[in-house]
Amino acid sequence: MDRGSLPLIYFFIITLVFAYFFIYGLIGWNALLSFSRSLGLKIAFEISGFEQYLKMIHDPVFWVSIRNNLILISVFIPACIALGLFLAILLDITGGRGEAFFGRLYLLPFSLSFVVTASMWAWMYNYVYGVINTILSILNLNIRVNWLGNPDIALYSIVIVLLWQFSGYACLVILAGIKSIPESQFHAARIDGASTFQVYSRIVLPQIKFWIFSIFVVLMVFALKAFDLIYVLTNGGPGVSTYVLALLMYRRGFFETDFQYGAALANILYVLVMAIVVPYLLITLRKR
Amino acid sequence: MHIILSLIALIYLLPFWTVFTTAFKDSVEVRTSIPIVPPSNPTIDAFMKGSSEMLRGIMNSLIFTSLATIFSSMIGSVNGFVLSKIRFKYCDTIFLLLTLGIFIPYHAIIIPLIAVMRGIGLFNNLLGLAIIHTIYGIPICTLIFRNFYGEIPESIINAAKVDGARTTTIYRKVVLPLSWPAFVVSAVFQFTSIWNDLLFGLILTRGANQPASVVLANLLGTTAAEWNVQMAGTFMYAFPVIAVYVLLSKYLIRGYLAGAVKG
Amino acid sequence: MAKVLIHGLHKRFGNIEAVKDFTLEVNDGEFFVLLGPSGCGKSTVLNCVAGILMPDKGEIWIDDKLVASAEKKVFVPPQDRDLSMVFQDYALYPHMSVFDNIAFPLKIRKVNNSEIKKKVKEIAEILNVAHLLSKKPGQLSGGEKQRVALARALVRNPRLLLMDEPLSNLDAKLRVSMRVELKRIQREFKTTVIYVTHDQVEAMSMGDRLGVMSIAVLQQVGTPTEIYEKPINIFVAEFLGSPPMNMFKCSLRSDRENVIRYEGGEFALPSWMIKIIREAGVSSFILGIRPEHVKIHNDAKPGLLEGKLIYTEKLGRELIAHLMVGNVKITAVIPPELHDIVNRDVVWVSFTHEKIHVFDEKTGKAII
Repeated sequence: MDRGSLPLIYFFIITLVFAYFFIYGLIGWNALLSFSRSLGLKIAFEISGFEQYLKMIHDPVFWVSIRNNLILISVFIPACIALGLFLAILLDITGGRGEAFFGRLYLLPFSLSFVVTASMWAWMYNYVYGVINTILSILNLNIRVNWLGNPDIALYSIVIVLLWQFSGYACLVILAGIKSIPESQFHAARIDGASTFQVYSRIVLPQIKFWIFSIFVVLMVFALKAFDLIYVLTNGGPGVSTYVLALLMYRRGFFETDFQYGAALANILYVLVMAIVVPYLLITLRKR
Repeated sequence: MHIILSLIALIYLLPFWTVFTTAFKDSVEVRTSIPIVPPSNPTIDAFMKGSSEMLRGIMNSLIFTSLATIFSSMIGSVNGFVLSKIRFKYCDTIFLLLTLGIFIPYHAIIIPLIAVMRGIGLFNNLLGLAIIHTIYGIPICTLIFRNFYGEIPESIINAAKVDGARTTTIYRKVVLPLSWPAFVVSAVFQFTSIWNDLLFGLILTRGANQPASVVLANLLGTTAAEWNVQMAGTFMYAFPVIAVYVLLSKYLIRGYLAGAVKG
Repeated sequence: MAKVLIHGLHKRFGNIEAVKDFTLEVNDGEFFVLLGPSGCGKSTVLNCVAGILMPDKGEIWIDDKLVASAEKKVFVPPQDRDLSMVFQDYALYPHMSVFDNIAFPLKIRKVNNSEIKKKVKEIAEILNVAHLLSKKPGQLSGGEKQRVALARALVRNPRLLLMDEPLSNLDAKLRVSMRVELKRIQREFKTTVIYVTHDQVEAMSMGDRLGVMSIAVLQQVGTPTEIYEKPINIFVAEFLGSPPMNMFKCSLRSDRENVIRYEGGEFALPSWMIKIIREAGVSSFILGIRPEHVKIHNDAKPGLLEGKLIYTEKLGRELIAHLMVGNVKITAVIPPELHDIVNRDVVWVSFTHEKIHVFDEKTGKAII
């Protein structure tokens, strides 16, 4: 480190200060707001203890939201990983240009904005005109499913959309993991007598555990902070059946302008996400 | 095998196809024909109807997205260089804390952010939006560049030092020219993320300043009956990102694998 | 235990022909070495025998059973060919213990557990890795990984063992001791081995027979001695032997019968040689003589050639002299009794007639 590096370091420090302020500074401010009592339209805080958090516990939609987030975690994540694994193995077996071409195709939805996805699928799921119901009626199955209007299944309709959007990513990461295994091990296993299934289950799978773990963390974080898609697609409806934590925060905090309560909800969201991410980063850095 | 993959591909592409066909249908056909079937009389009526708002939204998005992409990438490059080639105490901790910033839910800062933006007079302002996106883009751009610079062998830097160059010069003359792949990754990733963002636009802007994402979201709420307009709007908004993807997916993928995540 | 027949094998990758018209018969229990420089196609041949690659043309038979033929649309996958292979990077499974690595081929074949334990322990003892059974590959040294890979290959007592440059990642000393070990084990197990390498010393010391390959074509097959003493073309002659064979251009003299000219001088050859050269219809040719067959003399005598001493290399016991004879560079191996010649500027040189090789300039083939 010489004197010539000072301009760069100053620049770095300045941007760092901005970044840290806007990240940790504002989070801290948000936390303070969460411990304040509600002040109408003012974004200011007068500390009054756990008032907002108590409000949370008594808010029925809060519990609905938590439940929905848990459903996302327990249904969406395993399904997405399984689908990604299936696709990755299929692609790995195919190899060559097919692998590259289809791999990128499946990844396309992942690059889309959630607003676009929501818009597309709102149309796909439309009860009267939508593609899915139309296909079902063509097949003479005589079912028309109220994908987004039936409170019992709306959340699962959303899960399907998420699978469509994220499976390409899961596939990408897993495939990268598979590719990191030297080809000679594949050959050795075949010569040792292993069938394709055995090669993937005994040789590949145990070695990609870490890659799957990283997808798990990414999906977990998403499942906790999901907002955009649900806001545009169902806005929590029908009723409150598809509410999630982030959406509730938006509604209470902005729509109903209870900023301090919104801050509390956001704070909970933040804590949950950090509980996942911090251990993950520590483990990853230790491995390096 | 290719057959199976193609069948699966059809499922993935189906939504795109319905957007495409529906966007070009007139209001009557939208209601009467099956969505998968292409329009018999393709028209751009639907595009015209929602166009003024949508185009304004797209203009807005283009402005702040481009600005934020450029600046956050540049900042990321300098920061990445400092963190990987100029080592100092606590370097790793600082980096870790910065990287954490990639994962924070923006909901956790949005309320105080309103107060800040109002306070400095940049609320409901495209420049303000650009600045915000730049700042929140710093962690991920720094990550991309730090990883990239980590691959540059120390020996090149040392050779330049022995030749008498100062660090700033090394950065300008040796490292920067080598950095263009990282710039592409950073630019492509940032462009996509910022263009796709909803929350900041939703909360920090009103009316004429709203980005295309918010315009589209509102469209869904109001013109629900006119699906061709809806799909036309979707098409317009999604087009740049899809174009970037088709042309530069290689770089976007590198970004994803570097640990960059969406949402 | 198995014999292998490769007939008319062709394999190309895109525009590059990796193997051209390769035909070879490997005998039961033989240690056969396929030797050649990098990129000559030897690994490709091995991979075809293993079933990792499918030949474009030609047939591969193992023990009278056709395992691969493009024309007859036959392809037996590697799992069913009952052979074993050791790879250059060992290809050990990093997430399994050494024991599980070695046991893997048996587990796949559903051998029962007590039998597995017995066999693994046996082979581990033979290869001296028994003390490593509970470790993981990441904790082993290069030599240890090598032996574990070998143990995995041998645990099934295969009839055919394929080896792709298994020693090239080891340091020099280890390579020498492993060479001896491999040969010993092969003899004990009576396995047929096809061994691929670019190291001619390895090939010469280990092979019962060698096959020399260059640019996709099999040049010559024979015992190490045969190939060394009777190379059929310039490539084979140059590839084997260290230091490599001296080669220089010569031409017949039309006026004087037994004398041939080289750049910077001339000397005599026995008439029977001249006769064969004339019969071959060439007037100029390449003469080859190995450094150990270049004789150094103390005094000048008629018929000897003058050589200026350029420099000498003393490699332990060996002394190698680099000479300029006329305008031609000649390397000679100096026997111990003549080591004092290093002090001289000029020495006198002759070539052992029986060891002279003559090659056609255009085709490279050996005439003598």
